[in-house]
Amino acid sequence: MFVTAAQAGKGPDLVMGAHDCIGNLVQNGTIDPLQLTDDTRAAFDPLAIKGVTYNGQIYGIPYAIENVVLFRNTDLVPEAPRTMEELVAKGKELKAAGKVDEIMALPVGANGDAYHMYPIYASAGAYLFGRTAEGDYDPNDLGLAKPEATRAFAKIHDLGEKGEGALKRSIAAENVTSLFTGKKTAFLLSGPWQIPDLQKSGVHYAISPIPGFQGGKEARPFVGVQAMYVASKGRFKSLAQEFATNYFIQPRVAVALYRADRRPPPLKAAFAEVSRSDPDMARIREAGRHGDIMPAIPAMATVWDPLGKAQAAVVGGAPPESTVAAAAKAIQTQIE
Amino acid sequence: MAQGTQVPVETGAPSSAGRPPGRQARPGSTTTAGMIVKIAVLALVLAIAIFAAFPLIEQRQWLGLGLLVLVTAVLFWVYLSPRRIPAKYLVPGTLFLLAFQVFPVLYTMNTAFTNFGDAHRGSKQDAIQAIEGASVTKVPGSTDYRLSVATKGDPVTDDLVFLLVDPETRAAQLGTPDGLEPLAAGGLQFSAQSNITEAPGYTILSIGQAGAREEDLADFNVPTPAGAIVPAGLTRAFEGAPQRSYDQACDCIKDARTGQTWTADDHDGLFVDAKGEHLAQGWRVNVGLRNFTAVLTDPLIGRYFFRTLVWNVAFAALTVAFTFALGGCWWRSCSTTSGSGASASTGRC
Repeated sequence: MFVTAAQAGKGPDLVMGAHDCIGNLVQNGTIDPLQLTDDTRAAFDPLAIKGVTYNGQIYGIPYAIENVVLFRNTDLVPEAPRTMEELVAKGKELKAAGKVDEIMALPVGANGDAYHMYPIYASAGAYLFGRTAEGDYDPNDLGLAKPEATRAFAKIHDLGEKGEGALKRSIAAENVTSLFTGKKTAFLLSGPWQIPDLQKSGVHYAISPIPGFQGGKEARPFVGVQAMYVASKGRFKSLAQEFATNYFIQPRVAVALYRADRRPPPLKAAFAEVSRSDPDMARIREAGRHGDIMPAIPAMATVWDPLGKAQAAVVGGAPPESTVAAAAKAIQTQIE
Repeated sequence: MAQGTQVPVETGAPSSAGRPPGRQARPGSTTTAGMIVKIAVLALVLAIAIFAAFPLIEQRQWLGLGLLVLVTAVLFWVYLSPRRIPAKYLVPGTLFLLAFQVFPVLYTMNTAFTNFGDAHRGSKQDAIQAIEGASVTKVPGSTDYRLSVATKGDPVTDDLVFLLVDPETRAAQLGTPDGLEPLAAGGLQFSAQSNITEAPGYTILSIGQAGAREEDLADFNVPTPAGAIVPAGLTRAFEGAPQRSYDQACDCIKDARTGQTWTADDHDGLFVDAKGEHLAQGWRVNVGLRNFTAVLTDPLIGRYFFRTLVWNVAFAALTVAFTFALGGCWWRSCSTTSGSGASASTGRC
């Protein structure tokens, strides 16, 4: 939308959006790099700055940083599980006792949800894109084509409908919240955008990092950054730059945005302020501390759909090896 | 045209097109209302034409301007004469047909022979500008200046200058398109952030005034030995230099730091290095029949394309068939639903 409008010379001066759009926006010459002073840069969470950095340049001013966490019903599960196996065992135990209907609620749906599945995929040792020497994602190194990905898909298969029954295609973005707030499950794997609904429902919950597999790697969630960008061809570009780089970076702006939409602010001073009254914010950031920044490279756009569908198929019982190979091939062809 | 003023004014204004031609008042008869409507509509046509001409002249779109003059002339030629009755009815419809059916078809056909898409939307010049612009980085160790945009007199019309302050020493400098020069410290007033708020002989522009001069700011920079002082917003400036620049001699982009070069590949509309890696920003080129070959030879594209094609044809056929079916049983309560045509996904960005 913005790309088309900008091309026609009718785009806005400022754009807000998730950082994983940066690659596409830069590729089409629609946003400009921003020059932040060292002090400004240091005022932000380094992971957020990393998110808005593309080809060595900073393109956006972050205003929220978010990742998937584990919400648990503390009435049913007082202690956070340390491993995925422990989580599944506890969920099965509660299910056998008739206290819940589902082991956990992680959105899968008919087309899969690669974003929410990523921590499980990562914990099983797989990756999406390798990194270059500078730490940027490398579109030429597709992790899905590696044996680790097959092993990760086997783990997903084992948690799926033909295995433990923890992952199901009938559980999707539309019903995860009501499953948890209706006490039909004790575990919800989702992000800070759930908090308003959870608070409204009155369920006692706690936030902890998503546990990894026993002996596996950490269940690193994707870290997404919401940011403000300055359009290359805006009518009042200097004024837009002034607003973004000198006003939008002020802690009181970040605190006001947090009040409107409860997501952790990446500005350190604002984060410290909101954390004093809202301990959830610190727990969310803690759960994402070792997360992987979502790739902003244009190649990522070709990954979401085939990867999600492959994961949904495997959750439904499809053979992991051939499914992952087909998805890897489809993505590879599109990248080239 | 020798008839001059004796020509009687024709009455059928285009807005009465609903009436069949046979009922039209005969040429030669006159009604005041008809004449007023005709004058109003033609005046509107002329006003729109003049309105549309300015941006075309500004962008040097001579072809578009020629077309505009031609269309306006045809409209006046047709409606200012008492004759040419058939044309009076055919011209508006024909113009709308051309604008909304024929031109889009031609435009789509034209696009089909290019590589238009992400990273290939603009011209090569746009791509070069985007690559150079995206590579401007701060000169290492240079000062982060506090900036005040100023003029020597009138804030709206006079030439811009930059009043720059090193926030650590409060040493002030004057930046013009000729370069940097020291600014006498006498009479200078500073804000808490060290921006100059008053300087003798200069008018400091407010944020609003400075923002309104975007066109002048876009071209303004102060050359320095290492690059140029470039504004970052309206209250700060930095010394920056593009790390990548276009070299006409080799038709390539050079990286000043690494010495790497990306040569223009006019076949693909990309700048490509020796290893075959390309820069993110490309441009639109004509690719001949390549897109059509890909549809036939690439199974992935072919599958989606033919699926869409079959559905589009089926949709058209079914729409007609259902309409006939509906017409055939209109006296009964017969209803049918039809789906929409294939929709293209445009992505979230």
